[in-house]
Amino acid sequence: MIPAAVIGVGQTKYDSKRRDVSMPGLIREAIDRALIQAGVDWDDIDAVILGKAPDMFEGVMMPELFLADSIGAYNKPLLRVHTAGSVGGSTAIMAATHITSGQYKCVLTVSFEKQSESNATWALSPKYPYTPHINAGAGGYFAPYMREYIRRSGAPEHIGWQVAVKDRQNANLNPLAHLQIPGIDLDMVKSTPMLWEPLRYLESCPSSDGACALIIAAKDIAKGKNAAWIKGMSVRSEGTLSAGNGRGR
Amino acid sequence: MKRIGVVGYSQNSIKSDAGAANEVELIMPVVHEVLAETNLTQSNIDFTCSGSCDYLQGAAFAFVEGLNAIQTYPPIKESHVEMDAAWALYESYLRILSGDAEIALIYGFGKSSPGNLDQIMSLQLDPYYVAPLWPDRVNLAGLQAQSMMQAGMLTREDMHAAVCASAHNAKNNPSAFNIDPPSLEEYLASAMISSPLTKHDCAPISDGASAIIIASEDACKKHNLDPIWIEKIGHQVDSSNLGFRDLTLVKPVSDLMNKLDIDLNTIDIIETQAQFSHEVVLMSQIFKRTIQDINLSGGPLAGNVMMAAGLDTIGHTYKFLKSHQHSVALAHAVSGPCLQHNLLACLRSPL
Repeated sequence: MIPAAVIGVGQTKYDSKRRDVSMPGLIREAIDRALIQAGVDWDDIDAVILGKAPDMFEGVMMPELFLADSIGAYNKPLLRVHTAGSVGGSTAIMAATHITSGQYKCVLTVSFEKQSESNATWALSPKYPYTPHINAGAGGYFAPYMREYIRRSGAPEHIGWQVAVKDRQNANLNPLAHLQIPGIDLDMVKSTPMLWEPLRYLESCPSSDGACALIIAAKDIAKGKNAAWIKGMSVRSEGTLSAGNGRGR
Repeated sequence: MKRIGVVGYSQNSIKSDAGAANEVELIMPVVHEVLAETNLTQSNIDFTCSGSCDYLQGAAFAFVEGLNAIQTYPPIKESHVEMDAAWALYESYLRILSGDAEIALIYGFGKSSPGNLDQIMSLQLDPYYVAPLWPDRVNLAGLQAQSMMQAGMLTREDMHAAVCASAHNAKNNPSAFNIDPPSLEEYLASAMISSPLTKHDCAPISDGASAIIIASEDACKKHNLDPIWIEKIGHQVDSSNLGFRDLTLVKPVSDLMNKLDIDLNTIDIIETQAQFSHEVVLMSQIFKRTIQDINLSGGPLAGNVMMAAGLDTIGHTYKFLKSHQHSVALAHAVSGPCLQHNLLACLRSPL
């Protein structure tokens, strides 16, 4: 594998409603920070790889087309990844593959969501033609998997609460994190309303506006920079409703 | 550099309304056909990549449903682009070059029949300044055709010739619509949808799916596959600001021809994803061919499955090269208003 390294990272402040910026403005906040950290400029970027999950979150179909200029993709290759909830990771892997393929020297990748432009639970509860309608949202789809995991593993009730507390305590150390909940503890989490059995309100992620950008480069550009070399990467998918899910576990 | 070739292609018979057929029912037949053509099984596929659009399916995560058309247990290496599947092929091409896979399955699918395609495509536009005005895709295509007319590059007779050429050439493709072209008199008397475009000038509403398998040279030897090499491939996007572009040029295509060092004199056949008759005329001028000489498959005017039609340009050139009558082909996939995003692939027969 031709080596690839992350040489710059830029993240926006995550919030439930970033009304101070448009979509291009939000994305550029992340991109500009990544370019500055990487010490590269627009001319150094060979390709732009944009990731985001369903277009219905913002109500713009294939938004990379209208964003082409503001994300510096004009006159360059522009690729749009959409792999549902895994899209941030898949997009970074696709961007790194541009380098490991030997075809590109330095690429910009950015993933974003501006969920305040639309309504996430509406977007995730579509009426599929010819299919019974499930008004579920993300939690409604995941809860059965959690119940089945608990049934098989015997995981005790407090484990989910503990994970929520640990992550929110870490978030209190990250000024860019959406949720800042000082003094969060097990009692606070377990006293919040049940949304989707066994998932309580504070065990769920919020709907956020935000973007994260990476600059990924080949050896000759990464040389001498503060680089994080990519040691390995892979992806796996399986069917949503596959009867074989969990076989052999 | 590792050589990579197209080894199989399958296209559904294009329908104007596939009715209740869902993603799985559209995709499964083409996947089975392309696996049968190559004598491969799902376990030989190292990487799967699809192209589709949630707004066409009318539901978020349409591609996740589509994944049920293939065997996903044990879990597979898979990705998806919210683009035409020609770009899914490009992603797969990079994966094979990087050594992450040897054989990749690519499919694209779309149903334009359930919604109002012209209005849906308006949702691609800048949501703050342009989309609120609701210019639909035919309005914008009309602007491009008008620019060509004002520049003396286009007459309605040329557009009629493109409509007739597509109907004639579509006889080469059993999956295409059988279109009875209007006479010149009928054509000139047809009602305008968005001047100078009539219904004859617009690609028909289409439902369907297509699948391609590509493989590295090593995999071709190992599995006894018969490749048409992807000699060159690249893509480039233009500005989203229509006022910023000269609509009589397709700058990404001329840039790509320079960058990829494509010599038009060496190209035998060309398939372009021109979805309007004036786009056929424009691309024939850029590619220095007569209107009749491009799109031997009939092109999108004879069937235009959104999110698969770009992949089809590569598939059709593969089929024509396989028939041994030609040796080098150029495929041109597009996306976005007025040919904003362009992909070129140059394919060569090993013979």
